[in-house]
Amino acid sequence: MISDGTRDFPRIVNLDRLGIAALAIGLAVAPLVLSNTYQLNVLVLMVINAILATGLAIVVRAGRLSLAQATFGGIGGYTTGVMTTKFSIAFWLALPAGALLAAAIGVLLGLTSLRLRGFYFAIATFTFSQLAIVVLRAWTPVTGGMSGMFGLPHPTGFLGFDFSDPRQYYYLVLAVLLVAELVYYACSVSTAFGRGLTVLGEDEVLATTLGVPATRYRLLAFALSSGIGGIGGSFNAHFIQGVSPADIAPIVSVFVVIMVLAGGAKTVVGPILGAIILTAVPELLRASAQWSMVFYGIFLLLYVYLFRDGLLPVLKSACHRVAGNRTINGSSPKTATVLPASLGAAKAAPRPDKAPKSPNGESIISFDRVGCSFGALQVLRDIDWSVKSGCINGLIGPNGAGKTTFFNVLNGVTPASEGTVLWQGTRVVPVPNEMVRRGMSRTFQHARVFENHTVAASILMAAEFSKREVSNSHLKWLIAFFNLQDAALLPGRALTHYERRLTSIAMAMASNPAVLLLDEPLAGLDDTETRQLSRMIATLQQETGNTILMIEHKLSEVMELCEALTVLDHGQIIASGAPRDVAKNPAVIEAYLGNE
Amino acid sequence: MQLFLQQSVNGLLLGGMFALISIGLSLMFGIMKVANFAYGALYMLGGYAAFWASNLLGVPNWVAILVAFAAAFMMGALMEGLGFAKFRGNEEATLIFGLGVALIARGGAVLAWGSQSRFIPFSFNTYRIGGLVLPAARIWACVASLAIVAGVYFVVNRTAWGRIIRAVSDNAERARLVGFNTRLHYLLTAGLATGLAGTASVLLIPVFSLSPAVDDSALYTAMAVVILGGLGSIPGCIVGGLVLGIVTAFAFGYLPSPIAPAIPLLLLILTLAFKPDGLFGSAERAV
Amino acid sequence: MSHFEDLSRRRFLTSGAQAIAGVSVIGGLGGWAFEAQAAPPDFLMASGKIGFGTILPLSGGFTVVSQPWIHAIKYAIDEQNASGGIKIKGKAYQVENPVGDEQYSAQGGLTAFHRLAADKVHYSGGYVSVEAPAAVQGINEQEDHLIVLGITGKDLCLTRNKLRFYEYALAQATGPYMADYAYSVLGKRRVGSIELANTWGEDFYFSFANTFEKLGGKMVARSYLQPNQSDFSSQISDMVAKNVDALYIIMGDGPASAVALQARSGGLGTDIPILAQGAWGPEMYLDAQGKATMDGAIYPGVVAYTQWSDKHQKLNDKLYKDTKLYLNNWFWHGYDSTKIVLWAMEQAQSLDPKEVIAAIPTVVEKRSGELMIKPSGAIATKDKGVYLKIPMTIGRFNAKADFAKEPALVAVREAKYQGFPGWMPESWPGYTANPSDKAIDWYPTMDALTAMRG
Repeated sequence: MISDGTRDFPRIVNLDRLGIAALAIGLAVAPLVLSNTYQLNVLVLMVINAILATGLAIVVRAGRLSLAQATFGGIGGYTTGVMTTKFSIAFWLALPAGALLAAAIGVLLGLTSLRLRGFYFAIATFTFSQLAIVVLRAWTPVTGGMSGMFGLPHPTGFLGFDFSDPRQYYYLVLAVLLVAELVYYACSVSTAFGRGLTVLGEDEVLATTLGVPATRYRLLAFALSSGIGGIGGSFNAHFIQGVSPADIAPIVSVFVVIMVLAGGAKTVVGPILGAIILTAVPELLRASAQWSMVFYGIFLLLYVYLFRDGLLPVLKSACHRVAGNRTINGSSPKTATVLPASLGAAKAAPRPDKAPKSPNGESIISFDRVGCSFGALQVLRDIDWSVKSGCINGLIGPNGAGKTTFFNVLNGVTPASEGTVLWQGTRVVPVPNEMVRRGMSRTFQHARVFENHTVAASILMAAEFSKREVSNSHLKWLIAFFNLQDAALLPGRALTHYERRLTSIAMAMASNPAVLLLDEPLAGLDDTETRQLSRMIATLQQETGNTILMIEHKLSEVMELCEALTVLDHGQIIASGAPRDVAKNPAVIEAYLGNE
Repeated sequence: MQLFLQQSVNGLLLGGMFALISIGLSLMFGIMKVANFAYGALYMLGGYAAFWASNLLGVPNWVAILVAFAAAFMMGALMEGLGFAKFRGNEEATLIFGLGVALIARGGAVLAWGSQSRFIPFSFNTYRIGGLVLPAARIWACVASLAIVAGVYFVVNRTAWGRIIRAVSDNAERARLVGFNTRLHYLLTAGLATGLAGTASVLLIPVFSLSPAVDDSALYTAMAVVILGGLGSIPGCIVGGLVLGIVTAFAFGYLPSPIAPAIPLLLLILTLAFKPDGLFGSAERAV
Repeated sequence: MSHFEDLSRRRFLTSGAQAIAGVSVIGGLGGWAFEAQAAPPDFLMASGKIGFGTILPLSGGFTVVSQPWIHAIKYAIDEQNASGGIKIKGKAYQVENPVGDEQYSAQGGLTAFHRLAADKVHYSGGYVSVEAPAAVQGINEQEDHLIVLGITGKDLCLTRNKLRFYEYALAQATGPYMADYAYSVLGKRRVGSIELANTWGEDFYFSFANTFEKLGGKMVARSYLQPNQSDFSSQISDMVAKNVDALYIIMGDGPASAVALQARSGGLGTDIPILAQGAWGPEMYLDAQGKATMDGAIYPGVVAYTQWSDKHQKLNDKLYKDTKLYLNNWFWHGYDSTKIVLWAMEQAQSLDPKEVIAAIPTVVEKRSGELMIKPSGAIATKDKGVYLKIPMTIGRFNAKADFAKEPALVAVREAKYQGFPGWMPESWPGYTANPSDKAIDWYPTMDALTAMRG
């Protein structure tokens, strides 16, 4: 459990700001301090690597590891190279063309690997990078084939500089890095897109259920990431004044990944730090390529064994220890000390929004002869069902009856193989993030919260992602209603099981849904908590007037809470109606014999 | 027509060899669900173990094969015990761990042994049957491939131990509760998988020779075969291998060679895009 | 409805503008502060020694064949240092030989070059890949750095570069002789080839093909080696189907031996000779299998490569002690070209690369007798640097030789192919034209060459 030490910090030195300032000054001043060409060249390379790493970090945040960033750099470099040498187009015109081409190909790659995750996605990007190299090698008349292209011009014509001096080039790419950083910043916390992307990478299921459009966001992330990569590659090519397939070998993309991991994709300057360290150290060691490889390998092992979030948190906690700040088990203190403004003290007592009603009196959601099968296994069969509006509905049945699948078909996590799902009388094909926009939220059997975000932030995000009109008053009311005031500023990983459960329901309610699906909300709670939450659910329904559908095994609570009950067994409805009647149904008793 | 037949034969032989390279990965990735990025590196190191045994100690070739198996077995078990076991369930960590080991192995191999090609003195002829050229080294590699794949299939699907392995990979928690020593079985399976890789390496030295650079092509080939054939399917190894082999042979035989490498790569990307389960895949792993 | 205080578009743009402005200000100040008061260069390293660097792959490819070359340069420098160093204007200077890893790539070559330049090294030799010297082109002139280059490829060694000393045989000069030998002496008519897909491979292909076809032969199968390609069976089978009677392998080191091995087992038996260009030498065939595959391969080498003398024995022993490798084709011209440059410094009585390179032709004339490769002089072009006139000999690889005591390459019998010119005639337009100029005959046939030499 958490000690009270988290709630106040006697001496907080704001190390984040300090660190960033130090980094910025260091970057700004470095070329004035170092004098020889070789060192300046290394500096330029560092910054270009930082650009590539920052771009890649956007995709890594979205939960994907791409092994093709150097390839996109190559696409940018070859494009500007060809345009400037063969068509005599000015570099500054060629640059956006290269970026757009890289972005377009990035989207294409994203489209082909949309459904893939983890290892498979990495393989797909890796295969793509090999394919790109084959194409670039084979297309000799345009790209110079295996030898590549040389004699590329420096980017002239900007404010009269010709950028042949590495110092000038350094400041040029530093400016580009700053722009890339701003884009990355926009993709991480400070926009709705950024927040959505971040949680998508942390917990995809939860994020999509709350309304984050995974496909669209990922594609946009790919586009931005590869576009930035293309720009970095162009600047690289016009610095060394050449580009060849060897520069974009798959191993180079791997090194960019290592840079992002080294710095950590969780912070805004992490990738820059990673790029600096992993460019500088091999040069300082004057290491041969093979020793560099060994060094990178060792670094990766350190990464997985000792520090998973990159070097930055390690450095930060070391600094915190030096500065005297207390930490919890080595992790940094909580990220916020003050509630977000929209959840601050209100003038009047907060009130919940009323749930929207079905306009034409139709049942909000219903199934018409719905079936669901996985291959030969049929989990749901011939389900005709509709929810009873304005009250708490129950869905019960023995283990393996198909209840969770029922929910999954309702909100689109699993598609129905037969039949239709009807929303307010009209046929829909449920997709999780669309259903939440329509007004249906759900929770999960294992209470899912955002581990790295505070309760307050999570609730706000849930409201934001749903794209529904929700008042601040409603959200404040939710926090008070679920007794989460004390826990509001704790990150998800620091919550008790009960607090997690409450938070997950609050998040689902944040969108003011017409229908709330609760999957075993009382699971794992002791008797007191069960009674408490059970009463909360009842009050919740009364205060908002919404419709609740609940899967539960604790039958005593079910009997008390629910006005309408549906019993599922072996994928079929065996009984439905008022709880009293259902309880007396012999088929139901039969199904439950021996079960609780 | 003659050339077409010859290229078909080339493709089949290549396919058999590809399957040989991949059977270890199929076991590791398909059955154990461990994505081992250091597979190629261990393949290479197994080959070197055999080479040094043959070169420095002068052992006969069949002993060299055993040495390769044993050395790779130990390295694989070590990786499993010290690494994959810790990172089970965490895909990203598994990937990075494997990558780290691969980089160290590759860099270290070049530093220690140089990058020149190494041979083990097998003596192989070339058979000519009906105008077709059939290098004996390749034929023997294919025979070994079939034998090994059949053997692994038999062990995994028809023996008691195989049942244990499948149970463990299916649900380790449950298996442990039932009383199996999951740690041990993971170690054995990982060792077996990489041991097979090492063996494949030696058997292919007469065809491709050995250098630190073979780790890349072994890894990519094995991954491509496993993806094409479908994860979790041992016979898929043969099918995936044959498909890849034939596509590669015909691409290089009939297209200008700068373009040819693109064809198998395209095949792989299209498979990933449209049928990530592969031709024989069972588990819905990718999605 | 936004519940968050967000990064508005306006804030984004103003932040971006502020950042760029800030950077420009600092950059402007910095650039202004950097008014380099360049001291007149003395072309010496900080240690007071003359820097002659080696840039060759220690990793990434061709690392085995590069080792003798690395040591060749080192031995040449050591010998010069031992005999008192370089005497310029009354002072004697020692020579330092830093080695950089070219990594067989552009990035590697560039990095190595920049490190040398940063250490105030103004001379370097080596360069085995095509990418690395290509990347360095132009930059070496900016840095006042003389590069000693031996790798062919018209898009590389025939570009503008005033500080290039080209010290080996051009493909254009040796290719026709190989073709002539294959046609007239071996009686071959149908050649299948496999080459590295770059300007180097292209040069060797066309310089051979043009003469071969003019004589009446046919190039029936041309294919390429892809990097990381390990299987060649399809391409070999294609050649077998086309009844190839000689195999022309245009590449060296590991890939070449792989191709040869698969060729021999893939249907091109030992009755089909291997004609070769590239890095071939005994160090690659230290074991029985490799040797057996390569025995009899025909390729050109410097004259010294086919001979044996006390000097050969001494240096071979030394090389073996240092590397466990034997003299190869690249040893001699690496060794001698280094000496030529060092002597040119004394000839010019200067360390300025521009003056040194101008002195090379004179030095070669005067001291050719002291060099193992027996050059006939050097051609000073207007803006492409200096080209050494180096005689070549075609030989057969003798796998059964004892590399510790005898040459691996045995000169062929016919005198025509011994000591022939490995350079292009001075009147050849290639020395002045732009390599992308298609109107020039970049690969003249043997007849055309003979006519040009008059």
